[in-house]
Parts: sequence; C-alpha cells; structure tokens
Amino acid sequence: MLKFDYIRPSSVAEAIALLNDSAYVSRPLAGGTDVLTYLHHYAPNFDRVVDISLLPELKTIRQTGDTISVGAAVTFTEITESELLQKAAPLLVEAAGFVGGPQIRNMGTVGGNVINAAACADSLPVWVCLEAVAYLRGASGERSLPVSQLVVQPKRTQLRAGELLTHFTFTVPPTGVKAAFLKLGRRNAQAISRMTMATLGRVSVNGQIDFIRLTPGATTPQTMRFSEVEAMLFGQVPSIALISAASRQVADSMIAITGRRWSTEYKEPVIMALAERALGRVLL
Amino acid sequence: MNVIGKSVKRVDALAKVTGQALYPGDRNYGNELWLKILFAGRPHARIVRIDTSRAESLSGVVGVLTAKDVPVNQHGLQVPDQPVLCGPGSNKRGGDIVRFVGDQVAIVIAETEKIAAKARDLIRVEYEDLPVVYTLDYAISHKAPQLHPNVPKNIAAYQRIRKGDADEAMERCNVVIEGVYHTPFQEHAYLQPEAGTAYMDDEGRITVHCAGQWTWEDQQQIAEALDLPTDKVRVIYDAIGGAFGGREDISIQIALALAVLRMYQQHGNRRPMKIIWNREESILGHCKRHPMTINAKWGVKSDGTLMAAIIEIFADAGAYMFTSNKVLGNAVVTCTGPYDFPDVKIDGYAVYTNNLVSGAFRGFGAPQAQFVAEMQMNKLAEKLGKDPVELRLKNVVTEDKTLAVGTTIPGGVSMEQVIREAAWRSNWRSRLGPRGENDPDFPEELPRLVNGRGFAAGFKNIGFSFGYQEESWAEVELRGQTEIEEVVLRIAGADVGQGHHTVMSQIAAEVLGIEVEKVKLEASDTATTQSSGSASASRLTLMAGNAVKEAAEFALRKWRRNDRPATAEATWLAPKTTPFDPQTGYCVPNFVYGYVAESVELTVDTETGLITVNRVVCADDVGRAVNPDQIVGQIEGAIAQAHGYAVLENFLMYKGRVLTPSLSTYLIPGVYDVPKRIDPIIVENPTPHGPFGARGMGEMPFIPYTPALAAAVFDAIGIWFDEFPLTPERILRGLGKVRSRLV
Repeated sequence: MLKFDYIRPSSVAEAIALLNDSAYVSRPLAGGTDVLTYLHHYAPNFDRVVDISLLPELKTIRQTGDTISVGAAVTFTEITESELLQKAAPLLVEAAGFVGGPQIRNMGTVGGNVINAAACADSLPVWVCLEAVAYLRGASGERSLPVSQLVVQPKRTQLRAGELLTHFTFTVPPTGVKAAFLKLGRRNAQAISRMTMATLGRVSVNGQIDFIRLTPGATTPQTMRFSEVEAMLFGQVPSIALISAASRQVADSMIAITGRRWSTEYKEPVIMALAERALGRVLL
Repeated sequence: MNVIGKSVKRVDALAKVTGQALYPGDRNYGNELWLKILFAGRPHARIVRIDTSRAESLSGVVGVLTAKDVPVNQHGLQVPDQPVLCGPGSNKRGGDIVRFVGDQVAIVIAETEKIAAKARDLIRVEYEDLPVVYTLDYAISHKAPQLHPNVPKNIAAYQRIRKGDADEAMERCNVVIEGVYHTPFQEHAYLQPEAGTAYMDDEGRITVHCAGQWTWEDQQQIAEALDLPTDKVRVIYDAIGGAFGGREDISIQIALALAVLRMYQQHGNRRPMKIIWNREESILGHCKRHPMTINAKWGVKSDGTLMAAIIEIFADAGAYMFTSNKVLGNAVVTCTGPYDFPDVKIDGYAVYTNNLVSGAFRGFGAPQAQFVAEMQMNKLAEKLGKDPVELRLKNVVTEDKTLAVGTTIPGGVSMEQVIREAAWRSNWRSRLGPRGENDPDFPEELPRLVNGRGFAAGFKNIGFSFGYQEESWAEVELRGQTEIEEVVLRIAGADVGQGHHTVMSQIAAEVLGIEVEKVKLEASDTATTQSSGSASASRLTLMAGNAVKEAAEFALRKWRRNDRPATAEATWLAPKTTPFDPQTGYCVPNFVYGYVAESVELTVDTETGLITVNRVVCADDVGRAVNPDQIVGQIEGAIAQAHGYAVLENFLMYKGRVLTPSLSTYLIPGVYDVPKRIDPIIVENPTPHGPFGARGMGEMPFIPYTPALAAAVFDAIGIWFDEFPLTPERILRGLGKVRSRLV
C-alpha cells in the first residue's frame, strides 16, 4: 500500500502555507492525471498531497473588461463547456477538446497541464498564442510572468518550491480575430500530440492582415510564437502563395531551433501542411 | 427455428455489466500469497548462476523458485521446446539458455505483490550473453548459432507443395506478377492481462483458476511439467477478457501450479497463490502474430487466367515453437488465395530466432498469406486493365477445382457468391487500368485529399486439422418431472468474449424446444467437463455446437423414455483429414472453410500521410447465423483489429528487445480511428458439417482487410505498399516526401 498523507485546504492561502510546511514534502494535487500516473510507476517522492482541486479561487473563469482570468484548477471539460470562453477564446476551447479522452478532460486541469510541462501539452501553445500571463503565489507573495517564460523547456518551469500556480490572465483578442487549433497525433483521440498549431489572425477591411499570431506546439523545446512568420504575414494581403511561403518559414524556423533529427524528415513537410491549414482557416 | 437465428441476449451480459463476473484477477481468498516472475530481459544468454539469497531474506518472502525446482523443466503446445524456468540445475538439456526477453527465470512467492516485486529485483542473475539471432536471413544462414538442438539452420518447420511443374509453366506465361512482401508483428492487446490463482484442494488436486483457450491442454501441460497424473491438476476458467489466440499457450499457469506444489512440499504451506501480470509483462510474456517475408511470383495468361504460382514463405517463429508449425501450414494452404492454379510450387519455413515468440492470432497465418495473394491479384488487375472483382470471379475456386494441395475443397464452397455479394452491396465500380507512374493521365501533383477504393477476398479453414483428429465433448442434463424445468449444459469451450456460451445455450435450447433462460451452464472446469478443443481456428461454434446438439438430442430421447434426470454426453468427431505429403504437399488438410470478401473506401491525406477509412463492406458466409448480433460484433471487432494491423500498430523490436512494451508506445485504434461505417453482410450458405449449417467465422473478416485497404491506397495515390502498417511516415515516404527509412 502506498502511504502518504492527504489534506484538503479550504483556501489558497492555506494551501500555500501547507506547501511551505517544512515538516512535509508536499505535492499539490489537482486533476491527478499526472500524479496518479507517476504513482503507477514509482514510489511517491512526497509524503503529503495537498488537494487543491476544489478550491473555489482556482476554479473561476471570469471576465473583467477585456481581461479574462482562468483558474489553474479549471478542467478541460469546464473549458469546453464555458460559454464565456466559447465566445472570447475559441482557440482555448478548441484545444481543450482535443486533450486525451473524456475521462482525462473531466479530471485534467489547465494549471497541471502547464506545470507538468510535457513537450506535448496541448494548452501550452494556446496560452503562449494568447500572450497569457501566469500568476504564481508563494510564501513571500505573488508574482507573475508570461507563460512563454514560465515553461523553459519540457519538464522544466520557473515555478519555485512552495509556489502554486493560481490562474492565467489574457486579453481577449480584438473583434474579428479568428482562431484555429490543429493537432496531429498518431491516432485521432487518446493520443499524445506529435505537433500542434495554434493560430490567431484577422484580415482588415482594406484586405490586409492586421493581426497574426502563430505558435506551434510540441515542436520546439520552448513553446513560442514564430515571430519571423508573423512578420512575413503582417500587413500583407493574404493569398495562397503568401501562406505557402509563410508555412515554409514555419518549417525553416523549427529546423533552425531544433536542428535536423531523425524525425525531421516527416515533421518538415507535415508542419508545413499544418501551418497552411491553420493559416488558411484564419486568413482566407 | 425458435432460438437459432435470433439475437438472444448474451447469457453472460448481466454478470459482466454489473461487475459480478469474476475475471482471474478478481478472485480473492483473504490469505493468498502473491507471485512475481523474473523475466530474462535479454534475448540470448546462458545463465551461469542465480543468487536468490538476498531475495529470500527479504521480510515477507516465502520462497523463490528456479529451474532446479521444476520437476520436468519443459513445456510447449506443439513441441516441448521451452523451459518452464531458465537456469542452472535444469533437468532438461538446454534449460540454462535464455532464448528471448520473455523467458521466465524465477518465481518469487511473497506476502504481497509489492514485496514479491521488490524481491524479484534483488535476485542476482549472472548471464553469459550469446550472439542474438534477430533477422530471418541471419537465422537460416550457416553463420547463425543453432538455437535448439537438432534444428539445423533454425528451421523449426518446413512445408512444401509441388503441384505440376510450376517452373516450366511459368516459362510459358507472358504475364508475370512478382513481389516481396513483409508483414509485421501484431500484439493481441486484450483488455485483461494474464492473471490467475491456484491452490491445493481438499482432494490434493492442484487447482488453477485462469483465463485460457483450452482447459484440457492447460491441464496436460501443467501435469507434465509438474510430473503429476493429469487428475491431480484441475483447471477452471474464470471470465476471460479477450484472447484472439494470445492465450493459446502457457503464460502463468505452470508458474502458479508449481508454486502451490513446492510450497506444500517444502513447507506444508497450503495458502492460495495469485498473480496478475501488468501490461508490460503481458506484452513480453505472450506470443505475437508472426512477421513474415513472402516472395511471390504468379504466371498468368494474357486473358487473366492464373497458370502458375511460385511462393516462398519465411515466418519468424521467435524463440519457441508454440503453434508455428500449424500457422505455417495455414499460410502454405492459403497463400495462393481462393484461386485455382494448375501449377504450384510453395516452400514454407518457420524459423527460430531470439525475437518474441510468435503464435496464434486471429487468422492464424491466413492474414499474412492472403495479404500477398490479394496484393498479387490486385496488381494483376491493374496490369491487365481488368476489374479486380471480375478477375477474381474468373479464377475463383469452386467445388470442382483443386487447391494447391491437389484436392478439392469440402464443406460447400461459396467464394464466388460472397465476392458477388460484397461487390454488389458496395456498389463496386473500379477505375480500370494503371494508376500512378504507369498512368499517363495520373496527376503530377496529387490534391490534398484523395479517395480510393479497394477489394479483396479471403477464405480460411475451420479447425486445426491437417490430420489432427478434431473432437469436442458436451453433456446435457435435463431436470424436471412433467416438463423440462432446467437444463444443465456442461461444455469446456472457452468463452473468450466471442459469445460461445450464448451460442451453445441457443443450440441446446433449439434442440430441446425450450427458452435459453432455462439452460444453466457448467463450463470450462476439467473436473466436470472433458475436452471441447481450443477456442481458436474459428472452430467452436461448429465443433462444440455439433457436440451440444448431439448430446441434447440424446438427452431428449432419454427424457422421452422417462429418464429423470435425463443425462447424455456426446463427443463429436470431425471428418478425417490428412497431413501434407512431405514431398508434394498433397493432402485433404481440412473438412470445411469459411469465406469472406470486403471492399474498403478511404481518403488519403497526401500532406500528413493519414488514412481515413470511410466505409467497409464485409460479406461473410457464416453458414447459419446462430446469433446475428454476435456475428455483427465479430465482423466489426475483426475489422477494427485489422485496421490496427494495417494502419496503426507498429510493434518494434531491435536486436531481440522490445521497443514498444506498452499501450502508450504500441498504439491500437480507438473509436475515432476505426472505419466510420462498416456494413456487415451475413451470407448464409449452410455447410452439412455444422450444427444447423453453421460455419465458423471469428477470424474471417480480419483476412481481406489489409489487402483491400492497400488496394484502396493504390487507387488513391498510385503506389503499391508491399509492407505495412501504413503509418503516415510510410505513406509520405511512398509519395517521395520522406526519404529516410528511419522514420
């Protein structure tokens, strides 16, 4: 039998205090989709779980002005079912619908997805594409940093010991911006992403691209917007030729960062196809 | 007919959906000890020394068993060529040699599973590694070490057919279709990993509860390895969570029984034993579908008449025989497809290697062999510019034509009818003539999404046969006074999830003129039932069904003579068959076959390489549909499993080691991956050999799927793929977008 303590705080403040209690090695538990899998393979490297999954402060989805706040313990199912997010952040909703299977989406949380920082995390490119900011609270107070900086590389974040990710905020993209999230796995559900593509874009009344963001997921060690691609597109009149060229640039940018690996031969043509499709959806 | 032909509710449905049914891992005793098995983890080595002292001194460990503890250290379904435990002190020659990563080395018995696992990791084994034989070419070369005594060039089985003079006939053919085909491993991936419990009962019998495919054969193998009389071993099957051939051979059965025996002998300990394999242990521990390399050459007249076939089959048997000789036999008999060739030359080899053991898997050699036959047929149609369905009908076997083995096909031949049915129901039309590089009108640049359709047929023998006398036993007891109130049906056939128990209950109910609900089953217990034969080779409905029908008929006669209770047993013996003639292959290998044909419609994404199957039409002659819903379930399930084989399931081994030991690295299809629509067409062409005319059908729908899909891919993108699975990388490589063979 596995042995460790279990405690369920009633507030974030209490959770932080528990996590900083030096008498225990504590591990926060939200959806459990990573913690439980870990325990299937390894002995616990903690002696207490702090169950944050039901803390109301971590479960809210709220809009203030044009800023949206999403609690870290919000599940993927809650994301897909949120009318607010369906309207204001369809990119996030679309991506959440691709995560794992129904059971995983019912349990898994957006905060856990980012902090676990798997290379294939589906919400990560979305947060980066939305320029979301993550709020971290620890014993010495709260700090915030962009999600693009929070996750440094797969399995490594800037979260410090005793800190808890509480929520994300992002600015609602301007009116008329279209969103596309594409996922390529080895099968159509219950699949780990091999490559994803998060894209936001808008064409102005005079026919030029006046808003464009593109973030490939599971592609580069640090998830980031591909600024060379965005620069190529911004201010231009969208066309198939332009999108093809931009997609070529996506592949080139990826290879510039990762170098050529054994999998690149497949990934190169396929990331171009994904970029073309995603850009086509938001710009054409 | 009152019950036959009705989709009655499965007799096990309520217990299974409510969680009442006990699977082997669900059986608890309160005082059981737990086993963990130490696997070798290396493909070829001699075990020099095993030190179990640290494991044995761990608190909570009751015992550790090694080769020296096994009374007769060998077992095997066809040939006893596998040690029960590998290591020094074995009383059988070669018992200290590990021949694949899943060879069992030690059994730890402990108070808990966790302690057993910890103790297993404390066992120190000193190995002396030996050269690893992991390719077929190397295995049959003179350089390779011989993996088993008296098996030169590692040829575990060789079968040949010589009908007419194929070399001479080939010379006269002006159309020749030739190919080298490779088929992959496949893992059964049943829901329930191997598990079981065992104890010594009050009569001193070692009783093993587990999940298998043939209680009687498990009992024999346990008794032989433990050097016990057969009646000192009792095997009972709990609910079985899928099998597909993967439970045909021994996994945990002997280990459990050995633990019971030795703990009793050494310590007077009578506590029950329990083991549950995790998924990784299951994947290492049971067999896989045989990978095969098949060279095929067909000679054809320009009007499309098949004249000659020259075929070489190399099947990777892995480390031990399991059922390789039988699988090879099926591959040899079916590799020319359901077509008539006057001149045939076939050489089939099953080859020992240090790879995972290959064994039974739905189709039993026929999917590999007929992938080749149907690819050849579809390539021929393309080359001649003929419709592939018409070309098949022109050459199809009928009752008066002979197979490659030189004899006609018994049991009623409906291949033509089934092909016509599948073609008609799928509204078959083909693009005639060449596609791809031979087609002047083929587009230089393919659109992003391209549709294609393909057709294939298949046939397969029902039963093992080849001279083996198939038999099946059943007993029926009628209880009541003025009317039959309850029927006890004793059968041994394993309900592996296919619905066997329901079908047998229906057959008994039909004969007796009662409702299925009155039939009470006592099944799969060697203490109360004899042998019904294996739940494999699509054989149980026909063979066990005949036994149940006869037993019910006898019992009914006794009932009418006022016997109370009226009890009768029957053993049904299949019609005689004969083995291959060693020189010519001449034989009557089987007494009945099943027939199937499929069309596949799909879309290929030429940018990502992903395949989406939109529709499958499967026409399957089942003789008589005893339970139509269950047949539809078998067709849909077989096609889902075949879809994994054709497109997704990429089992990787390198130098005898498994690179995909989990279901997160070895991906089977999910519900969003399988064909969007399957139209199962049940054809009923009764066979005189089956109960109410029923044939077997569990394997058949699997067989034509891969070649039909490959033909549809060719139709879409103009490329023949002679190996699979058709992963996105393989498709893009075919399209020239990826060059490396690594991806």
